[in-house]
Amino acid sequence: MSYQKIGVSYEYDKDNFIILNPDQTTERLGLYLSAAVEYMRLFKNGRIFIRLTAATPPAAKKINYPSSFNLMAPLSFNAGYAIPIKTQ
Amino acid sequence: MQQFPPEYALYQNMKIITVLIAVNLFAGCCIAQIYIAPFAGYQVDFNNKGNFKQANSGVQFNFKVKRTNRYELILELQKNWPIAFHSNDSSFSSNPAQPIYANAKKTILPSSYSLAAGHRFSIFGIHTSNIFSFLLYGE
Repeated sequence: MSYQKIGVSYEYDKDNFIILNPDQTTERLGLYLSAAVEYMRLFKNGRIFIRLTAATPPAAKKINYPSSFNLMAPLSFNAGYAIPIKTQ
Repeated sequence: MQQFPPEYALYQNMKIITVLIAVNLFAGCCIAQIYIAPFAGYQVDFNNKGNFKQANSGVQFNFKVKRTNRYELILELQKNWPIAFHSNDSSFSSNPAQPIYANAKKTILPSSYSLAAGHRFSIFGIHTSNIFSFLLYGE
């Protein structure tokens, strides 16, 4: 489940000017899918990994500003270290 | 066409998640090893012409299943920190003492959270220290 918030703000002379039909901050919550490829190196007390992940946008109501922005479909690169906490 | 309140979609999502978690817990009956794995990274968004970028941080729990080295169940919580995207828009004035329009600086901060259950399938190097895997996430 993915929650996305796209915050929008403007800087301009608000006393003398107006923006016609400004974009508003948008929030969406929905289900998503993602797939990844990963390389993992094992060590005596854990394992290190690097991973490339592609995800779909969340399945949620469409955003009102298609010419400005859409829900995100990220391609991410992550690295981490896995520590064993339970062994049977 | 019948209109549903916004809470109805959330209710439907929660029902699906409940089923998926139940399936995952059932699959976890033969867990031999649990790992906790903090991670960090970087991401770009392909749905907005690569304009939105984020820094990632998160933690995942890996449940290694007995009798196989090829499969693990993963539960993952991730927070994506926004990196500001700047662009320009136009602002207008009806005051004759001012120019008709002027530049307005627009800043977009895209942030997100995700909670996912996934499956890791080891493909190469299962009996070595260097393992290549394919992962599939949902929820």
